[in-house]
Amino acid sequence: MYKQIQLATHSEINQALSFNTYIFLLLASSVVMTYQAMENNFEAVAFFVFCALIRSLYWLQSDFRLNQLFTYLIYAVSCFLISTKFVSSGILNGLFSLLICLQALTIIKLRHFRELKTLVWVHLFLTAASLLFYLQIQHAVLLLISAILALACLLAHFLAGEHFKQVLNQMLKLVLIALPIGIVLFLVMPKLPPLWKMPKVQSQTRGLQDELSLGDLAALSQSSNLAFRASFKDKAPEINQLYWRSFTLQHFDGTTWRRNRYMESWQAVAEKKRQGLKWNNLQDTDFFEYQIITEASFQHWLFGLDLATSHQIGVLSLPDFGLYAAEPLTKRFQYSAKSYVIKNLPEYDTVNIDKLNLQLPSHKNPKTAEWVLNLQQNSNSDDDFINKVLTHFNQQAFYYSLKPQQLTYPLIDDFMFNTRTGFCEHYASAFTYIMRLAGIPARVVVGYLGGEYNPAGDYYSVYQFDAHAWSEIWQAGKGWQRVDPTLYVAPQRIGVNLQHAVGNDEFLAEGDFSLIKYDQFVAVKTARMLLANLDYQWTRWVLNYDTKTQKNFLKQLFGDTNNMWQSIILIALFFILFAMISFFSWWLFRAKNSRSEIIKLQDLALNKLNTHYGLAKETQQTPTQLLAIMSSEDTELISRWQRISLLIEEIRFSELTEPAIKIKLKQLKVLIKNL
Amino acid sequence: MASFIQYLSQWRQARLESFINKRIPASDSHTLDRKNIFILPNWSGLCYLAVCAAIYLLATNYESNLGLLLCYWLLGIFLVILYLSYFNLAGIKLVSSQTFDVHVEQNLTLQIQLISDKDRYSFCWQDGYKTELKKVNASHQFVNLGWQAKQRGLFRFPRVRLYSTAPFGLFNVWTWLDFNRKTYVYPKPLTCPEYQFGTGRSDSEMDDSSNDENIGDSEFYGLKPYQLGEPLSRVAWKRASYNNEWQVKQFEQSISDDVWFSLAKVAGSEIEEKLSKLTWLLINAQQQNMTYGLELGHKVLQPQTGAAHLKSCLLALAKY
Repeated sequence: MYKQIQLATHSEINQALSFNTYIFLLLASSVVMTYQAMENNFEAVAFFVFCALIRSLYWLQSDFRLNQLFTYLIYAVSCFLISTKFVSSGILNGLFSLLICLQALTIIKLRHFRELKTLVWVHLFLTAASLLFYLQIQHAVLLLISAILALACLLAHFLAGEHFKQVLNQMLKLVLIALPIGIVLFLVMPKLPPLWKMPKVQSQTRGLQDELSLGDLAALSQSSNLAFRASFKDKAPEINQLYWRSFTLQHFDGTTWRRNRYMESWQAVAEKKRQGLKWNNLQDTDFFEYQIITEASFQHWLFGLDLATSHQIGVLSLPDFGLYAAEPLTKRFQYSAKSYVIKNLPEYDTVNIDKLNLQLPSHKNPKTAEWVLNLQQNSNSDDDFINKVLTHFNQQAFYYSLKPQQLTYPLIDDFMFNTRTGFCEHYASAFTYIMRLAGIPARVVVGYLGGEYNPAGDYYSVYQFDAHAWSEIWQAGKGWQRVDPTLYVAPQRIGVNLQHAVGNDEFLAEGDFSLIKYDQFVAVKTARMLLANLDYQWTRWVLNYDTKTQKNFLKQLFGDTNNMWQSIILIALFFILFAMISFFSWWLFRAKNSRSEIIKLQDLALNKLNTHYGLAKETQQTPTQLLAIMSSEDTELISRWQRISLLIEEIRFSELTEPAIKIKLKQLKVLIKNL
Repeated sequence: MASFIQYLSQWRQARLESFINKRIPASDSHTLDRKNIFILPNWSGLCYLAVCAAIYLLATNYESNLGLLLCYWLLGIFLVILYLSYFNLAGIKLVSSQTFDVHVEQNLTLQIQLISDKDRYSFCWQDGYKTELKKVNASHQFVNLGWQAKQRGLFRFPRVRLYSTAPFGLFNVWTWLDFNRKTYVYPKPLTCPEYQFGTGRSDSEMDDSSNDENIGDSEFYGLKPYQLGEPLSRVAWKRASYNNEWQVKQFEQSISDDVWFSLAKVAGSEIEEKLSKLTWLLINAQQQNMTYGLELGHKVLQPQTGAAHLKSCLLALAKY
């Protein structure tokens, strides 16, 4: 007898799956599979959908068997899908592809609880995998719902025959009790560093690219995606001073601005050796301290105000005053930086200045060259020349537009003397080119300008449409100076924002739907800001909750006590949590329907009968049968007990509605009280 | 070596048995609580934990806080499921209500009343038939546990294992209950019409012929031709010896009056076979409303009739 401790129960194996179970499974899978399909696993997901469809068709037919040949075909297809994925997109996507195919093969053969469990386990892992890519709060909530639905499948299997609302109700209670445990564990459990090197998460780069052709930024400006968010510690600069530098471009081939070899060698050192430049002697100037949370760009570029420094590990300074991440930003990345306000930035490598910043493309722009020569002859100094160029931009009919015309070669000539319509990169390119023609070292700087202040969260959001390009010129004795030619064409762009500068019709005209376009409605703007703040706090407290934040948090919670006390408090906390969980599980899942109440009332009545009148019920007797043993003289008791037993039987055995039962229960309580 | 292992497993089983007997003593009724419920994660539960571990590794290596949160939350759910699995059994009252006597190869039934204050799911019993209740309602409900009766005699209902994996299939929650019930298993009836009018007593003081004459203290009233299947003891041998015609002695009131069934007189190669035949004879006699007595070695049940008498006769057979 004792040897029969079999682990699998016969019921689980043989019982057919209920319809609820299947619906929950499909709902849960559809969420995760959609995310997986968006993340480069489209073929495998299509295969899964195909298998699920076949299974759904056969659902109507209880004795369905797969054709043997068809099974082999399916296996072959999945093998093909997995192997091509491994070859084409690397090990990680290959692994996900494998798991999706596994799901597909399991769902097509789904008959029993065992297969269902396999599906649920793999589903949970795929949910975690999707969370690697989709970090925003709305995606996280959706994916968690899908995990809940997957677990609800298991519950629905045991509660077969119950209404799906009851299953969901139970599941919701369970999830809510478990949530505090999850949160507390998340807050206090020590975080381990990565245990081993994993294949990198790969995706297309987003945001600024490290080469700039005329028209690139105008295209990027159609996107209302977030680039990064910044919160200043004590004070923030004026909004028109928020020139967020990302990187400089120094090599121009007549069409495209690129990084040069020199800067690329610095990048290589930063990535491999994690070494950057140290800026010295900056202590005595004014500074701003701020924190930046970047979105996942899958690139190395970071953002900072001039002159940005950071002590964060993995954040390095490059000689072109940019900040550079040693690892590509595969997810939201948070770093703190300190910017020193220096008007004239010193050059680190003065020897190479001319070589790097006076380079001209072999492709000539004769009209511009002639114009520069004329202008130079009429100027008495470099400064005068620069002013004259900027005045030219300001006073001639130059237009600022998100939809500049297509330029013809030579591009700068066409822009300067023909179209005269362009976005910031047109002006920055033309100005830098002109400077170089005049022998003044110059380069293009790419980054973002401005940002939207969110008062609730006290931070600035910088969007892709805030992308900006400006110029930087070097003069002996003065160092690098920022010159923004756009300022002389469209002052509103710098003073207010892009939307103001180009007008509402042109702003985000070709991009995806975005709430930002409807900012003229106050309610829309308020809602958008609220959501943005929610997402910001989510990023700060959940996505970027690292070891350092954890330490600070625990310090805040328990004070700066020594380790032993802290661990004792933590252990006590765990016990309290444990006790609370036990209590809540019992309380939420206790019996509380009217049918259970009637049993309690019946016991109460029987107890009273026993103590007051000495009449005990035998196991098999019903309350009504007790009337037989009551002495016939006590008519009062008999009539009372008759009413009580009648009510009990009515409530227990007749099909009454819930409100009717409640009324009867009240009557019964009064009767028992008076017994 | 093999015998040593066998010895070890026997010893372990004996230890387990005595532990269980001490922990959950036999009783008519049991209320399930933490004293008599055992709970352990099953394979599915371990798989669940393995998935949690895999998610933890993935999240740690990719430094994904959301993955970690998911992992910890799943662990929290695991803990709550532990409670739910326990509450699925805890609090229910089981009362053994009825047993029925049966014959060998029939089903022994133990009726148990389940008194529950809430809905419970998937009650699996490891009785002889793996009885299963998919749902136990919040009320009083009966379940019949069954075993195959294999042996004649006293049957003590064994400890029955009640287990459930509801509501998620991650934990095995079980208990071993002994309802302290016993019943008797009567021999299996074996048709034997040749003795249906009694075998006569195996009284050593009377010889066969006189016994024949005096059977049931009734009066001899005539003869009729012998038919196959009639007891040989009633053949009138004296007449047969001179006219070669077998005739059977007929007695007045012999059938309705006292019939005796004796173990010693029933033909059969084995004792079980004889007892089976007697069982059939007794039941048959009761059906025909005879007044019958039973003689089992030294034990003698005086002739009577009625269901109670039949029961005591069968009981005597079961105990023999």
